[in-house]
Amino acid sequence: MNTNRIIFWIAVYLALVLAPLGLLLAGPVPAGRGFALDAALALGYLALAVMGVQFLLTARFRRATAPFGIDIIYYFHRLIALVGLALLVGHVLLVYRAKPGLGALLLSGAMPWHLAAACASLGLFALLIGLSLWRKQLHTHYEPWRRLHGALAVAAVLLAVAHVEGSGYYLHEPWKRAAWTGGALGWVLLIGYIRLLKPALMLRRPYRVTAVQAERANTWTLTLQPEGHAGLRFLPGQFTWLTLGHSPFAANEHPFSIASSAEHPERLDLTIKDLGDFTHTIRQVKPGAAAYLDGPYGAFTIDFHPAASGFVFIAGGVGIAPVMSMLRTLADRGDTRPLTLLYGNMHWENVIFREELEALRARLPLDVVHVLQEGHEGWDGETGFLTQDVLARHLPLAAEGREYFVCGPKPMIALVERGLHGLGVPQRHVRSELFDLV
Amino acid sequence: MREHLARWLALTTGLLLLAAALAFARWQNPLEGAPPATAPAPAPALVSEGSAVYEAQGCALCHAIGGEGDPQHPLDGIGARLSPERIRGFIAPAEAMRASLPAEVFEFKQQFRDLPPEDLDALSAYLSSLR
Repeated sequence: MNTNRIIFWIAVYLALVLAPLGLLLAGPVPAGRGFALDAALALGYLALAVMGVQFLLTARFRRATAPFGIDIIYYFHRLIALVGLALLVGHVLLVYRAKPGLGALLLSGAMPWHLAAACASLGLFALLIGLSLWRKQLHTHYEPWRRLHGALAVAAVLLAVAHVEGSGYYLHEPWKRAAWTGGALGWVLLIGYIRLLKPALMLRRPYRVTAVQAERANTWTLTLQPEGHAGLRFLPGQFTWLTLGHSPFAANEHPFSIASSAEHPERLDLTIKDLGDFTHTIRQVKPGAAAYLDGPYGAFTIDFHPAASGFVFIAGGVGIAPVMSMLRTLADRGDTRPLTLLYGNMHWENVIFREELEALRARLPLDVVHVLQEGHEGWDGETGFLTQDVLARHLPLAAEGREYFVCGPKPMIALVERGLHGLGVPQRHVRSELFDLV
Repeated sequence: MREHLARWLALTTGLLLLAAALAFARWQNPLEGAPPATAPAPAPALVSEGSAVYEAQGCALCHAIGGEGDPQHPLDGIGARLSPERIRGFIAPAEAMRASLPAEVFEFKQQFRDLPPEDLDALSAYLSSLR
C-alpha cells in the first residue's frame, strides 16, 4: 500500500513538472521555430516548472510527504534544484545557438526588459543554489540563510515568469497565457501558505515548556504540554519543527525528534544535543515558555511495519531520541515482539538514557548492546565503531521478518548500512533518518 | 536506500524532462520540414534580389542581420533552422499562422501578403541563404 502511494505521488510530481508542455500543445499550436529554438523553449518552461514545484516540495504537506519521509523530500528538493539549474543552462545555450545575435544584444546594453529579467533570474537561481550547497563552508547561520533562501527563490521565479510573459513564445492565446501565469503565481503563493496560514494554525495550538532536564553528553530534554488542546498525535519515531521564544510567524523553527511515547500525546519530550547553534540556547529555556510545533513528520517509525516479527534499532549518540520514542511506546503498549538495540557512544559517561534502557529491559523483550568508541578500565563490552563484525556478533540475523532502524551521525549510518548489506540484510528492511535537512 | 531512490528519481526526472523537451521540438519541427543539410544554395541572383526586397520593405525596423537593424529579433542562421517554405510562412503569415505570432505582429505582417510572389520568393531565398 505504501508503494502504491509512493508511485501515486511520484506520478503527481511528474505531471506537475510536465504540465507546461501539455499547456503549450493544447488548443491551437503555433508553427515550429526550428528544432534548437523549440527545444530551448521547452527546456526553459520545464526548468521553471521544476523550480516552481520546489515551493510545493517544501510546503510540508503531510499526506504527500508521509510515504517517503520528509527528510528525503528535502534531500530530493536539493538534488532536483541542480537538475532544474542544468535545464536552465541548457535553455540558455540552445537559445544562443538558435539566435547567435543575442550575445551581441546582451553586450550592447540595449537588451529588452524580458531578457534582463531572464539574466537576473538565472543569476539568482545560481546564487540561491550556491548558497545552499555551501552554506556551512560560508559559515552562514540557518535562520538568516532560510530567510534569504525564501526571498531569493520568490524573486528568481517571479523574474523568470516575467521573462516568459515578455518573450511570450507559444502563449499568444489569451487563455494559455492566463493558465500559465495563474499556475506559476500559484507556486509562489504557496509561500503565503507556509509563512502565513501554517503559522496561524500553529498559533491556535500552543504548547508550554514544563521542564528542561539535563541529560548526559551535553544533551537536554525539553518537555512540552499542550495548552487548551489534546496535543500532537504522532507515530513513535517521528519528528516535529519547534518554534521557541518566537512567534510562529518569525519562521525561526528547527526540526527535532520526539523522544516520548506516542501513547501519551499530552506530554511531549524533545531530546536535543547542544551542537553550538540554536541548540546551545535550550539549556537557558525556562519552564513556562511558550512553544509551537509543526508536525509530526517522518517515515522513521515502527508503526509503518505492523507485520514485523521484531525490531532492531542501531543508534549513535543523540540518534537514540526517536528510538526511545519507539521503545517507550512499545513498552506502554505491552508489545511482546523481540527487540535488539545496538547503541554506539564515545564513552560510558556519554550514554544518554542508559538507566532508563535498563529499566525498559524489565518491561520489554529487549537486548541492549553498548558499543563504546573508547572503553574505560574494566569495560568488557564492545569497543570501536559499529562495524560489520560488531553487527554480526549481536544481530538476530537468522530471524525472519525483522525491521531495522538506523539513526545517528551520517558516517555512522553509512557504516551500518554497508555492514547490514554485507551481512545479507535486504535493503528494504533497513530504515534510516537523515538528520541534516539543509 | 531512500537516498538512492531520491538520487535515482532526480536523475531520471532530469532525463525525462530533457527527452520531453527534445520530443516537443521534434513534434513541432518534423524532419521533412527542416532544410536538408545538403540543400542547394539559392541562386546568387535571387539572393541579391531578396536582399533588395529586405531593404525596400524596411525589415530591419524589426529584425537584424549581422548586427544591423533591431537586434531583438535577429535573423542570422535562420536558413539553417527553417525551410524556405516555413520562412515564407513567417514573412507573410496566412490565417493558419495566427497562433504562431503575437496578435499585433500577425496583423502588421498581413500587408506583406500583398507583395508580388516573385518578391516573396526572392526574400525567402535571401533569408534561406543565412546559414
